[in-house]
Order: sequence, then C-alpha cells, then structure tokens
Amino acid sequence: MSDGLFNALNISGSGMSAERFRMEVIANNIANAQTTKDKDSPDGTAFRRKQVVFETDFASAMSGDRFSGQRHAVAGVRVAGVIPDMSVLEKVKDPTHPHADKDGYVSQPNVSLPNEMVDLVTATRVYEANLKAIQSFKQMVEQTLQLLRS
Amino acid sequence: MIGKLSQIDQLSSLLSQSQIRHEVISSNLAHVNDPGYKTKDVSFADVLKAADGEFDTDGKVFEVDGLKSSQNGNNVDMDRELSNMSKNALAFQTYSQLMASKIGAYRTAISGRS
Repeated sequence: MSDGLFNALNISGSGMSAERFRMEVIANNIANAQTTKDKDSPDGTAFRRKQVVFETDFASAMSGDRFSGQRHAVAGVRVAGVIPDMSVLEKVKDPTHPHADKDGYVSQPNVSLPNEMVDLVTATRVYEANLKAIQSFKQMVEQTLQLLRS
Repeated sequence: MIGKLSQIDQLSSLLSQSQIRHEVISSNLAHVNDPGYKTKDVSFADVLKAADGEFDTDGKVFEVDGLKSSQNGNNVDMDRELSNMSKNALAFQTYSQLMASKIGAYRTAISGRS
C-alpha cells in the first residue's frame, strides 16, 4: 500500500478538476452566446461553442501494477482537449449590423442556453459525487487510525 | 486464535479489499462524463475459502455487464456508484470495528485485566 496509499484521492481529485474545467468552458460558452465575430474561430465568423474532451489518465495511474495482469488499470480522468463545435452556424438577415457579410447576413453563435445549463448541472452533480468519494475515503482512513488508538 | 488463518488477518485483507473497491468506484465517478468509458468493478477470491492464509489483495478489475449506455457510449450510473460507495464504506466501518474489538480482546488477554 506504499505509493498507492492515497491513489483514490488522486482519482477523485482528477474528476473534480476535470468537471471544474468543464464548468469554465461552459461559462465561456454562455458569456459568448451573442458574440457574432470571433477572431479565434476556425472560419473567422461567429463564436463557436467549445466542448471538452475527457480521457482516462493512464499515464499517471500509479495503481497499474497493483491489479496484477490488468490491462484496464484504474485511473483518473484528464482533459484531452477543447474542441469547437463545428456544426453549421445559423445566419440572420441584418444588413445594418456591423458584422454583416456581403449578402447582409450575420452568422450567429451556435450556443444554446438550455443545452449549456443542462451541461452545467451535470458537471456540478459529478463534481459533488467526486467530492463525496473524497469525504468517504477520508472517513475510511480515520477509522483505520482509530485502530491504533483503541 | 493466532495463526495464518487468524481472524485479524482475514479482517485486514477485507479492509484492503474495501479500499481497492473504493478506488474503482472513485474511478467510475471521475469518468461519469467521459464518452466511451465503461463502468468497472473488482472481484476478489473468496476470503473464507482462502487456503493457507493466502488472501487475495490484488483483485481482478472487470467491466460490468448489463448497464445501459448513453448516447456517447458512457455507461456509468452515478446513483448506482454512489450507493455502492456507501455500502462499501459501511462494510469498511464494520470490518474496522470488528478488528478493533479483536485487538481489544488480545490486549485484555495480555494485560490480564478485564
């Protein structure tokens, strides 16, 4: 139980960090729900909502050798990347808009507030679940220490 | 009852097994939002059938069958994981209290007082 002693805490901590990062990305999407020109966007038009991609963090899995012969090591999660949602952007006819293109259309960001709010609620729930796992583990360690005291 | 199959050894390996199961459940909870991740669980060789005091503290991690997958391929059911975590924590608490009373009994025997 030497280096893997607090592996459970690393796993739950990684879950919390990942969900917190997801919340940041969602906040960015919501803040830019009306941004009709984004210079960082792939085609120079309106803001495109970002999505986070997760993957299992085998690289820092310390418990790989504890489960003898297991290819499916138990590991935490990490953010693999942030990718823009490349769906087609809606266009609204508004020739007087400063960002209108040559046909008088303004492309709109593909941020849907209900979708973002649902993602936010999911992320919050998962964050809380990981926090509970940490609290539960802390209790287990405390109970083990009680054995020394009695 | 000192010896290879003493109850304290049994309880100690049950405690280790609970800790490992907690890790696996934590991994499931950390991956609730990870597309394509499949729920894992761990199984241990039966403690009561252990021969010569060889208790299984490694465990075999396997993917759980029969869970519904969502659209992105993830099949973690958060409520199931949370309830498993509570059960596991309760089991851990039981084993540690049994262990404490066993140790207490030995102390009483050693000190001669009751």
